[in-house]
Amino acid sequence: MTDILRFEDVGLRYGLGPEILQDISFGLQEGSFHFLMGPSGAGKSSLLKLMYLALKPTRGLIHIFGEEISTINRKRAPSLRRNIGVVYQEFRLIPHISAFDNVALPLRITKLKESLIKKNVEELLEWVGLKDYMLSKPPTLSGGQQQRVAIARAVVAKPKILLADEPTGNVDDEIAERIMHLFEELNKMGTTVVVATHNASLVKESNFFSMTLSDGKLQFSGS
Amino acid sequence: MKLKNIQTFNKSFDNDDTNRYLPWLIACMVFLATLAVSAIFMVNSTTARLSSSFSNSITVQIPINEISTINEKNKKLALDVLASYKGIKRANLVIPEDVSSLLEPWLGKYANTQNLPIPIVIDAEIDRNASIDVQILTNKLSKLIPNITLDDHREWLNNFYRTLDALEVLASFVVLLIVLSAIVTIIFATRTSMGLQKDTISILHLIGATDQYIANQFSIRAAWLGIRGGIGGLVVAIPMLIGLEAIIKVSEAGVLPQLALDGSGWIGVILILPTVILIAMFTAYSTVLRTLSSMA
Repeated sequence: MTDILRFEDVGLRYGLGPEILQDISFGLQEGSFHFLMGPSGAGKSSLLKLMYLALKPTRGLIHIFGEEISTINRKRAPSLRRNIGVVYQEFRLIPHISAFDNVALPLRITKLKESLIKKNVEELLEWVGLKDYMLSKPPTLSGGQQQRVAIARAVVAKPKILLADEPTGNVDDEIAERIMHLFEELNKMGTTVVVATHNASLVKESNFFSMTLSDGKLQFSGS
Repeated sequence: MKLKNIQTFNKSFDNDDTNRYLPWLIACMVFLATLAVSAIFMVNSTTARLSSSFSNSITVQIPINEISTINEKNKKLALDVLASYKGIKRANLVIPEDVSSLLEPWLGKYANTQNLPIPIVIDAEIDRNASIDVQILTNKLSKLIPNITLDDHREWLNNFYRTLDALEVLASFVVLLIVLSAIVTIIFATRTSMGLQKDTISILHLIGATDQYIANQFSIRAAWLGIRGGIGGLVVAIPMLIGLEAIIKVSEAGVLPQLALDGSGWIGVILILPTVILIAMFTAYSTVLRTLSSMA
């Protein structure tokens, strides 16, 4: 199987600060499921940012869908990003539009028919338990509800890679279980999933690979 | 930029203060532009009207001190000379009632013009394609009636045309200034809006939106703001123009040529709205694209 995402000796520093990620090398196979573990401040979010092309490494090479990102120009980046779904730790929802419109955004930018958008978004919001909150704006939703909107937005366009930063951090056990189940279902359909979490029990309950970030270095452990 | 994109327009950028203020600014600019454009069309149509009514005629005057010395025969001969002169289509004596009505704007409706020393006036219509040598014709008529004068209105018309041309240039300059102000206002409003919407733009980029998609959203929003402001400006300007025309019609009393918008003038005024919308859309679109590419 080919690596859908590959890091080669990647290092990252912000400005002139210390290198927070050092010599990161790994490959994610298409259709794999990985947990990214590590204590707060270990650099999990920074590593995810490199994966979803929000940052460029200060050294090393990153290959995504077979393309090395330093060779990708501004016009090419959007089409690669459309294949990467991201659940942000801070949700990053647009506050003045409804939950429905937030989830519909990734489909609208692809100019999909409004009727199809409506069908897909409504189904997904119903599945994450937000059927009655479709027209609610994010500030009126609880943290858990906002997180579920963010998850729905990340998966609605059926991305090839799904990156989730602490996706179960603000939800109760039942919803956390449903979210993990959704990720597993997407993974079964071929989506490569990376879940960053500090919830060790979540990792223990699963049979997936885990990567641990510690002191800027990455260690692998399989199940 | 395709119309199809309006269908996919989302309200991602719909929450900043530029939405409130920009339509007011556009309304003011459209109001001023409507007045300036109307002035251009009015001046144009007035020039055309004057040109067709005066450039095809000459006015012959028999001075007051000659009236007592000439007889009816010479008057008739002078009319015959004019009527038979090559290039003149017809020549008629202007009757005293018509002379009185010509003087009405200056002397008032109830002035007694019967006792005024008024010259005899002959109005001659010139063939549009003919050229008349006024001096030769004057010499010919002077043999019948001494001190007779001929006026082809050229001097008066030239002065009037110069004034109208200056007005037209001024109005065009005002329109140009308004367009430039509109462009600059939209550029600054778009940049301000982009600053306020930094997070939304970042989210859209991260989910795979292209710069063109984001620019489209801004340009469609600018179009809506342009429509709102443009309609507002026209709603105030059009009744004002109609009222102005009515006032001029009542007060002119023949001193000035009629100032009114003709069909093409009204089309020009109506076209201001789509022009403003297009300026708003393209300015917003190119501003967003330029700003985003400079952020890369």
